[in-house]
Amino acid sequence: MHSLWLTGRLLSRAIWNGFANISSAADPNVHRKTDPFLVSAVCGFSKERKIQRLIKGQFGDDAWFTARYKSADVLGVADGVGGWRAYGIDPGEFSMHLMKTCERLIKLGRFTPSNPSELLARSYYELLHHKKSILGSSTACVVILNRENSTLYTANIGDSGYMVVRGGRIIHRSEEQQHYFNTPFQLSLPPPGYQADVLSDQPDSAITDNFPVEDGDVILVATDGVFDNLPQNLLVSELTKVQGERCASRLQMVANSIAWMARNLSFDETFVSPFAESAFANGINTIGGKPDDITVILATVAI
Amino acid sequence: MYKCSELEQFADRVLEFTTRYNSRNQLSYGPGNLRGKYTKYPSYGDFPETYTLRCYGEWWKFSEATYQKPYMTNDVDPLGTEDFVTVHFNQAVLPTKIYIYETYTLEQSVSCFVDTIRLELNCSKLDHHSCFDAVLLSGRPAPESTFQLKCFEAFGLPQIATVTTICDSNDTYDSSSKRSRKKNYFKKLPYEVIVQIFYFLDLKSLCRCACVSKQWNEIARDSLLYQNISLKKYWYTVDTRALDFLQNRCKNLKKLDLSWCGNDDRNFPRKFYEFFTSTCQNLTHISLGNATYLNGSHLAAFSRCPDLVELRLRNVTISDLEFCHADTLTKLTKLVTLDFYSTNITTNMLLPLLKVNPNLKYLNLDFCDEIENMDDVIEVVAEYNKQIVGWSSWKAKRLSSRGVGLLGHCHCLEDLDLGWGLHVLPPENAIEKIALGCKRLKRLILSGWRPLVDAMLLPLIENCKQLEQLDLLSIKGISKEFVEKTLNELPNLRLLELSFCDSIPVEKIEQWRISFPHIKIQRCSETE
Repeated sequence: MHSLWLTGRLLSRAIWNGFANISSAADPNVHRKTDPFLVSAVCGFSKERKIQRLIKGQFGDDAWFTARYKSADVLGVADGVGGWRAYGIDPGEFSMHLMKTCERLIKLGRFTPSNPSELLARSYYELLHHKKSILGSSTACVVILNRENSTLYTANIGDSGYMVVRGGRIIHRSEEQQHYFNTPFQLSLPPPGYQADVLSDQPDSAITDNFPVEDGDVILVATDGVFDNLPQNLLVSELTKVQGERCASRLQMVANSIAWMARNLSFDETFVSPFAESAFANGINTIGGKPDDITVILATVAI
Repeated sequence: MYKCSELEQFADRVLEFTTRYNSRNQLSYGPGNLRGKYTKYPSYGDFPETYTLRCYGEWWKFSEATYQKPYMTNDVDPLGTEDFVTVHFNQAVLPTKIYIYETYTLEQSVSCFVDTIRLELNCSKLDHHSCFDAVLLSGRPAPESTFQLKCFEAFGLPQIATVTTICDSNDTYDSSSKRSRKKNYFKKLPYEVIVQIFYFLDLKSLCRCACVSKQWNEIARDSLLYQNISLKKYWYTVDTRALDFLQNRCKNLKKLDLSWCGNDDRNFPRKFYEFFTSTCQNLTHISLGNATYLNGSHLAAFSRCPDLVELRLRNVTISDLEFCHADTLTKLTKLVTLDFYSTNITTNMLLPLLKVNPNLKYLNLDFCDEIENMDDVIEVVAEYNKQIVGWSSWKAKRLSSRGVGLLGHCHCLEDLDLGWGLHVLPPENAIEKIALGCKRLKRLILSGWRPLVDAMLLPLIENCKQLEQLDLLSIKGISKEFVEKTLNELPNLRLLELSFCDSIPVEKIEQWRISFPHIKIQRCSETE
């Protein structure tokens, strides 16, 4: 009974989250018809089973944002590295501030639509100059749709990522950057005295890419909690369902189901997840999903 | 009568400003945050989403590298304006109300125009940094048709009407007036005595006196009265005519402060050049804050003032600096104060100048983004400017522990501002070198030196017993034992900045405030 109540609570929260997002990111009426734009929906869960205070833009240690400015629609996710908890640092703080700063930079037009890695770098350097010292590290992925030339510009550091699906096939997918197994590239601001021991990658080490998109293309931007737990074919079949979808609430439903599946599989101890396969390939014998925070941003291109 | 509903609008652009907390290209704490609707208000605290001022209170006036003593002691601004920020609004209105959204301590004075507002700020009464979130202007929109415009003219735009221009006192004295039959006792006083009396007047009164009589008019023109000129207070009215007016009088100019002036007048740069070359041979002090028009030829003109002691070019971007010869300024060899706060001065230009000025005492290089490597500058200063007393390099680029350590060779240092200098790189034993070398230190700013820990700071407490102001903002690595030691062992300490030092509990601060009432302990955090 208790678990049923919990499930209901989580689902309703996911839906509420979706509605909160519709107003901020998906408002097709403000555009001229000729300009391409993104319709987006967000869903996610914290790894913690207990209910926490819900902060917009955050699921556990994950953070996300959607923003738009003149000729660009931007989506971004970041996954705070959980290892900092042992040092008394809230891992969600760094990722949250990184994304919040990206969002502000975009709203003020302080970015180049064709250069998402510059956006990440700027955001990172802003954090360096905060009076409040924000410590921790995070992976990050930012996707910018330049509406002028219908091209998607992406930057990715670490194992968060994106996937673009057209007609049931993956057109583009981000590459994972790892130092070694389960240790992704990361932007970091280590506490004093730990500089030498901490993996820290410069913002310019982000992998960048750009490619044209077409009407109806489905874009998924998500943290590793999704990619590590959901097999690729399952993801593609879910994404294909919303090919060309312009209704934000239907998009939301699919986003919810992806997040929900990822969450269920992450706690399934017998499931051979992509994470388990990857671990096996690295000589670690394990099985089951990888409990992690989950963030899903689902968007379709409308031209 | 013209009637229209009130229009409320937030600022859409920031045009000019004199102070900021963060570097030019950065968003946090920058003036750009004044744009648009408030984001943090009504939360209370020091947020990066607001426009934050760097100085507060009277503390910073200790630093001569940063604070300019008034040139005209008899003409001091009653409002005490120290800084300003000018914001632009989309639509011109007849202002009725101005709302300023603040998230942290503030007190200010306002003077306004129709679609741009300049907030003049006086932070000297403030307890701590002030943060603005947004500016809202409420008023009736400017009319569009000519008829309505006339109505407006008839009423007169009050805010402009109250501004008296200093040119008003025109040189012509109306001799036809036959009113005064009374005896003029002033005629009996010797000329020198009247000049001495006039010497105590401010510019405005002097101009009014010039209208009294022929005799007064003549006396009020005496170049002895125009030795020290500060027009910063009258920035809104200084134009080419004002310079014309002064040009005939300033034969003996010693100190000239034209800060904030002349940016709205296209002919001002040319006129200023003419004015300068004809009057300023004997100049000793010059201050040109926010003079956006300056170029290389002006710099060349400065170098023709051999007696120049103080050169302050705050918030100036010299337009063709890259074409200037590195030796443009090296004829100035008596400099004591050099203030390049937020200018585009380059290392090539600065180093030769430092090398020929052995008497230099105060140097301000805050926000000099074009100086690629601050270590090189320090190296030269440590070798050639042994007498340096005040050094300021807030947000310096490429400052390393080696460079900071070299400052330890400047034994006269009393005021050292290295805010946000080593916020990433390890400081190693830099502080120790300073502590051992600069025993006269009274003011030390180490804001944002995140990697610092207790052990690195201890030599400071043991050696620099004269410290009065110590700023440790945003340093997480210090413990409460260290702070306790600081409070106990520095007898002259008056200000201790501990904002954003999260490792120190608030209760402890409260305790210290009670047991050390003579020390101002600052503490502020972002409160969500």
